[in-house]
Amino acid sequence: MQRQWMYTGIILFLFLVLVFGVPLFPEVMAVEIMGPLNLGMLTFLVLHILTPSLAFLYLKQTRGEES
Amino acid sequence: MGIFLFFTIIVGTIGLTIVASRRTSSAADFFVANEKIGGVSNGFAIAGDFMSAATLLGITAIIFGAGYDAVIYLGAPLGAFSIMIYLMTDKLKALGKYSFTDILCSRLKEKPIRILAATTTLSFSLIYLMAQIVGAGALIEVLFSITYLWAVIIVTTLMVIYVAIGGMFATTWVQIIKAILLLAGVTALGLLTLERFDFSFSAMYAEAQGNHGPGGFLTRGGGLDLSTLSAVSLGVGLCLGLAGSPHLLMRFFTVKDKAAARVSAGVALGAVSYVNLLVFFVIGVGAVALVKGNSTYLDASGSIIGGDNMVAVHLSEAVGGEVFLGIIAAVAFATILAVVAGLMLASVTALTHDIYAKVVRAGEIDQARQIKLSKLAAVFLGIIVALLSIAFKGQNIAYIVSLAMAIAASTNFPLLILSMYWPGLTTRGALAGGIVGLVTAIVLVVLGPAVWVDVLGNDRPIFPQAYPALYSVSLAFFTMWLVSTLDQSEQAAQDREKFRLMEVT
Repeated sequence: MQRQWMYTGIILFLFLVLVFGVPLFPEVMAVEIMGPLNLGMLTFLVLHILTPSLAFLYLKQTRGEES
Repeated sequence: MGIFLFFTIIVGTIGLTIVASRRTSSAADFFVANEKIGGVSNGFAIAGDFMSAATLLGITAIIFGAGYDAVIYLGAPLGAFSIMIYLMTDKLKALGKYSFTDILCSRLKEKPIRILAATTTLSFSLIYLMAQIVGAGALIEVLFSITYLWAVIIVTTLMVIYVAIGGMFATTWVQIIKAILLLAGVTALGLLTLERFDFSFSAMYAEAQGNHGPGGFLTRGGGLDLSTLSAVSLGVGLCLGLAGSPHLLMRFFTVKDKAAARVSAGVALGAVSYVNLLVFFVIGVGAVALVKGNSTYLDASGSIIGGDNMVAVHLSEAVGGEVFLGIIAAVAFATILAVVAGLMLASVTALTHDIYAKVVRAGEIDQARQIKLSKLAAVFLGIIVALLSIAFKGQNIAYIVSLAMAIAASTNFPLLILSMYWPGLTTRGALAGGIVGLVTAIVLVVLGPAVWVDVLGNDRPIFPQAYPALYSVSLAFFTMWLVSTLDQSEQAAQDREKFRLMEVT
């Protein structure tokens, strides 16, 4: 049970960083990282790569445990 | 080209529906495809069920107008699908059969809970259906030069045909086809857009930054001018509303076991993430670079022809010519059909399975009669939705969608998550919290700026926030906790004992 809550927490935390970043710290999220990519866009990118990656890791783990 | 593909989709999906009808002989076939859908197929169907026209057209329009702030709309489904895959799928599959209400009834008193859950499901589905069809009518009017009235009649008729004749099999197949078309469509649109800039993100962003206007909101927050409370409320409403959407939840009952349910959620998550990335980084920005300020796509008043929701379609013409425009228009049409079919099936399940079969007939109903009634219910609900959509023509659908999401977030989600994880939840607590969540969501939307000012014409809203979910969700959870904690009835003791037994099994 711990693992499910941890994975959910990671994704919801990243989502909340994006949500709070819009009204509370837009300047921080606008810090440039590389080319047109800024911190906010990087967070968005990480969220969209990490979410399916964690999901497939979870699928692999549960399949291994069940078999 | 557009009209040809439009009719191809209609004929093709009706053909599939006829094939599906031959496989539909029992109530289990009709409501949940008798658990015969594979995990990967169901994942595509969930993605097809979730990604409405708003995903491609609406979000591109938000990026086009407000820029970076679209991250809230795009990030919310990832949170919702994560909640589903990690916290819900196993329990949904273990305890449910046809609808999420089955899970609530596995530990709470059946009759009142089914009435409450069916009411919230019908409220959500009919309101969301109406929003989809009002938007679809306007979109089809522009895309295919068909009048709004005929567009509504065509969409609702097809929706009723899929559900009434083909049940869950037809609905699933339409959703899978739509998901594949959408994935292929956004991939082609993204590649063609990047090709216009020699696959240079820097060149595309430089062009778009120049077009987007002052403030630099294309890549930094502030374009929607949201306060902190509004941003959080919007994010909470979208995320928890999607996690509590009955048409998405019921898809987990169409696969054979927990493992397949998890695979479904994982595949859907992958597809949604992929489309989101393309829309945010390429299609939205490409539309700003190539459509904004382009006189080809402006009307006499200087506005975008057909409104901002059409910018993705205009982009397809800008990068791929008229043939590609027809293809993207057809993809948008298929997108609409798949979502409304899923919503209609959820409504029919709530009416005939949860209310009629389980409450009115106390489970004493033969399958042939239940299927017949379900088909009649689809026709009845289709007529109601068509009439409502005609009456609401031209209304701002954003508030209708926010109301639907607020209802799902404030009722279905707290009911489901607490009944799955909190031993203390009692029938009285669930009923009180569900009713408080439902009423609060509706009242706050009506008293807010979207209805009180924009629709009813008053000067100032009574409730200042456009997005009520933060308040209605908090109130629903608090009421469920308070009433359940104070509840010392005999029923409450049984509810708590059933949770313990549920955990053991």
